[in-house]
Amino acid sequence: MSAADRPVALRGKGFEPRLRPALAWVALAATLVLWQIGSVAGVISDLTLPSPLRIAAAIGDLASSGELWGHLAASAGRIVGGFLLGFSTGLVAGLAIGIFTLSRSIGLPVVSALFPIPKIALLPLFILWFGIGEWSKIATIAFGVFFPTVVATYAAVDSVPRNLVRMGQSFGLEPAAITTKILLPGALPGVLSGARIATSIALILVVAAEMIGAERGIGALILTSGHLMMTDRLLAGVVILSGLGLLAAWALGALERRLLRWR
Amino acid sequence: MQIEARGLTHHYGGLAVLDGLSFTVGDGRVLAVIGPSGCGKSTLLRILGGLLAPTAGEVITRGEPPAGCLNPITYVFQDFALLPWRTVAGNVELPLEANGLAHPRLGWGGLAHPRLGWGGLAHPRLGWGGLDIATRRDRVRDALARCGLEEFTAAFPRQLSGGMQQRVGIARALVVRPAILLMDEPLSALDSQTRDLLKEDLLRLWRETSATTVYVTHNLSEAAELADEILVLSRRPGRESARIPIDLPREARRRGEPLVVEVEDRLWSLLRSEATLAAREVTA
Repeated sequence: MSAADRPVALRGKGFEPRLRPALAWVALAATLVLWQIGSVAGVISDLTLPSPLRIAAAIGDLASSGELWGHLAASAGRIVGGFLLGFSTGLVAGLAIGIFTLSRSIGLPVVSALFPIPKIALLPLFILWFGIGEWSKIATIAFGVFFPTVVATYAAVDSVPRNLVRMGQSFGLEPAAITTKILLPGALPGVLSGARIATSIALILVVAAEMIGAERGIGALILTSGHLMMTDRLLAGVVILSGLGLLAAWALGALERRLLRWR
Repeated sequence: MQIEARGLTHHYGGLAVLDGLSFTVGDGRVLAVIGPSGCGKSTLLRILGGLLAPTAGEVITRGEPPAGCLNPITYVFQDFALLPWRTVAGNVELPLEANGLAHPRLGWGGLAHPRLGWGGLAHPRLGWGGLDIATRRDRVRDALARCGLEEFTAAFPRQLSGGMQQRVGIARALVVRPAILLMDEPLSALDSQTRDLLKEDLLRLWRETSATTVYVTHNLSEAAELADEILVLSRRPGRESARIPIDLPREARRRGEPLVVEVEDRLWSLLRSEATLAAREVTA
């Protein structure tokens, strides 16, 4: 190397974020430990924000007294019922909008007009129609799940390359076969990501509906605990809700991995 | 089977893409259609395949398809058009599913019972007639073997190179033993070495299957090396500007063959000015 020779400096560093799961667990554990220490030391008031261990104890009490299962069963029943109703009808409507001119012309403006309504605003109406019982809550959730499902489904059908449809036609496939063999499998990734959005909406709506008019359910548990200043029970409900959300996300992830292996 | 185009004219809105095109492709012959970009080559092929209705004119096939033919006209696409969720064998099997037999697992349209097969669910139009499962598997195996895909039966398209993906596309077009093969720039998405290998495969397949072929391309050497006759189209709207027969047996076709080079040079002199003009055109 002569004096004028210089190595080229490496400039292509960074902007490559990766996931290190261990770091996430360490951060979570550190937060909980600090929180607990803060509570024990009296820096954090036990009444406004109970310690992690007290919240865990509250969950344990709710579980052993059997109270938890009643609330959980009520909420889960409403979520599952509302989701199945809203998702299945949304899927059919989305497919129709994705395939037929008539249903697209009529359905799309209706969906676009009703989509932005915060669905919880319709609960009082549904209570008048279906009574204060389960059906008004299920209807609210179904309504909330229906719209994102329709939008995700028709967008997913639109995203299936037309060339694949023409290919099917060129090989003489019937319209029904093109729908089931080309459009549906091609739309599946989009439909599944729509299902993710729909589940989180279902979770929001079940809590909101249970806060308005229910004696049982996680939303009711949280509201009554708040009224009684039982913040440990209140936060126990919140933790359970986040568990429910994680469970749903995990189940959908497993379904995606299974159904979309080809990707 | 022969295929004949009579006065094909096509407009997209106000844009004329084809103008009164007529030609006949004889039984077992390969016609290459070449022209500057945007001259309506792909539109022509879609019309020939019944995927698009021409503004005027008609397409006629003449003669009987050969024995064992399930679909007289099939297609090979520039972008392969494979179903990414199906394996190689599943993709090749797809055209057979239009012929009265259900998928062994999914039934026709996925509606049949998983174990009872299509018990009770006959094909809506063809009823119970059609291929039995054994014949169908033979057909798929045969088409895969012809295209050198035996080892890749269970692979998904994304796992394959472009050349292999297009081999799947060709196997899929051959599985129904077509009388007429329509190929829309089948090698354009491939690199030049893969292209040379596939050209050899195509020449061999034409010797074996003797399917009448319309081969659309913008590549001069492809046209000169593969075709029995070349139809040169003008810039948009596409009209016939020349027709060049190539009298050279398929066995003798290869790169650098004097006649092939001569045809290529002639094509370039015909297309050069048109291509220059076409490249400068601005589409509204």
